[in-house]
This record gives sequence, C-alpha cells and structure tokens, in this order.
Amino acid sequence: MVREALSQWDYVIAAYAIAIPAIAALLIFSWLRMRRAERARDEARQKGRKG
Amino acid sequence: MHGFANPRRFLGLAKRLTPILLVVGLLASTGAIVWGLVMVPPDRLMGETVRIIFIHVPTAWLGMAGWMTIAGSSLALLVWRHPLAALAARAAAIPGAVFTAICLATGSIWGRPTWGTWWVWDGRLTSMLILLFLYLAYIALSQAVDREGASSRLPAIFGLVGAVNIPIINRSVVWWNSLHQPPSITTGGSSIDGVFLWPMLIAMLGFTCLFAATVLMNMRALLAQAQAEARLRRRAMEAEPA
Repeated sequence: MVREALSQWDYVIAAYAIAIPAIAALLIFSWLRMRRAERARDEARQKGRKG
Repeated sequence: MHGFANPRRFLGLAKRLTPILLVVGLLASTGAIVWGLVMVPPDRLMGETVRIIFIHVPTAWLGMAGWMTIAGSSLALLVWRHPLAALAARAAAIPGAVFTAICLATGSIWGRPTWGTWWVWDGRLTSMLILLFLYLAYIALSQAVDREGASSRLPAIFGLVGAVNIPIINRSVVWWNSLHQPPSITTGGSSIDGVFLWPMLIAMLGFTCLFAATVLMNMRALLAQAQAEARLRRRAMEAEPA
C-alpha cells in the first residue's frame, strides 16, 4: 500500500506559505513604487518652481 | 466615468480610497483566514485540505477579475479614449498575474492530496495557465510599447482579444471532463455549505479590496511617473536656446 508521506495540514501550510508572502510582497512593492514615483514628481515640481 | 478623466480629480479620490481599501482588505482577509484555519471544521471528504479554499477561490476570482479590468479599460481606451484607461489596464496586469500564479500554485498543492496528482492538462487548469501566460505577454508588450513610445492601442487590442479566455475558464468544467469540480456558486445558489461559504465570501471581499488598493497604488505610480517626465521634458525644451 502506498502511504502519503505528508499530513493534510502540511498541504494547507504549504498553500498559505506561498500565498501570504506573495500577496504581502505585492502590496509592499506597489506601496514603495507609488511612494518613490510621487516623491520624484514632487521634487521635479519643486525644482520647476525654483528654476 | 469621464468625470475622473481629470488626473487631479482622480488623484484626490485615489488618495482617499487607497488607505480605506488597504485597511478593510487587511482586516477582512486576515479575519477570514483565521476563521477558515481555526474555526471551520474539516470537510467530510477533503478533510483539513478544504481550508485551502479560503485562499484558492479568492485568488482564482481575482486572476479573472484582473483580466476583466484590463479588457474593460482597453475598451474604454479604444472607444472613448479615456485618458486614464491605459494606466488602469497596466496597473491591473501585475496584481492579476500574481493572483493567477497563486491560484495555480495553491490549486496544484490542493490537487495532490485530493486528486492524487499535482497537475493535469484538463480544461480548467490549462486555461488558467494560459491566463498567466497572457498576463506575462501583456506586461512585456505594455513595457515595450512604453519604452519605444508606440501606440497604447496595441496592448489594448491584446487585452480585448485575451478576454476570450475568461468565459473559457468559467465554462471549462462544464464543457469538458475534468478532475476539477463543476461550478459551486451559480446564479441558482451555492452548493457549498454555509460553514465554508461565509468565510470564503469574506476572504473574497478582503482580497478584492487588497487587489483594488494595489491597482490604485500602481495607477498613482504610473501617473506620477508620467507627470514627472512631462515636467522634465518641458523644462528641457524651455532651456534649449532658440
């Protein structure tokens, strides 16, 4: 008889261990990208006013 | 819809909505996952692995919703030339691809103890994999168009053509024999027991809010980049001797 080496909880943990960090990384990446782009725009705007 | 064609008006709304969507999304998705992992009993047939439903179904929904966002924005660009439509389509591509990849990974993990295999080339799994490839192609195409300064109509046409895959994904388990179960939630009701259905619906709401927040953040980033580049170009032109 072939027996499954992993318990059912191992599969559940594996699924969440992939999904949660991936979604967290997506949110952090999007937040940092937005902050960086808006800061660059504000700096360009300020330079324009000074110039 | 054209009321939000004004970038300043759109930014005002996006700045208010982004934190609300983030907070609601984090609370709802975290609450639903804790509910699903701790309080929901194991399923009679699938046992503990049924708990994967609370991450797999929302990500499958958002994988498809992401492409519908691209298709809807592409239509708005091609028909009404809505100035923010191209940004909305590009902003939905990376989150859509990430959610599709998570759906495929969690589905594969769920398939091993349930079906006895990690992968099978049936209609549902294959059409979902095609969706991931469509996302990757769309991201590459829109980046190339941006880099080369080509028309944004090209990725818009690709976005509309790719939408053909969405009804195929939806109907695949009806049209072809599949290890994947038939649709559990239809207009006629749900075949999922309430004990699993409610945390799943709350997880779907939470992840949808997080997806919407990500799209808004990406749109704000793309808009800010475009505004900064326009300003730099204007300054360069003003500095040029006549």
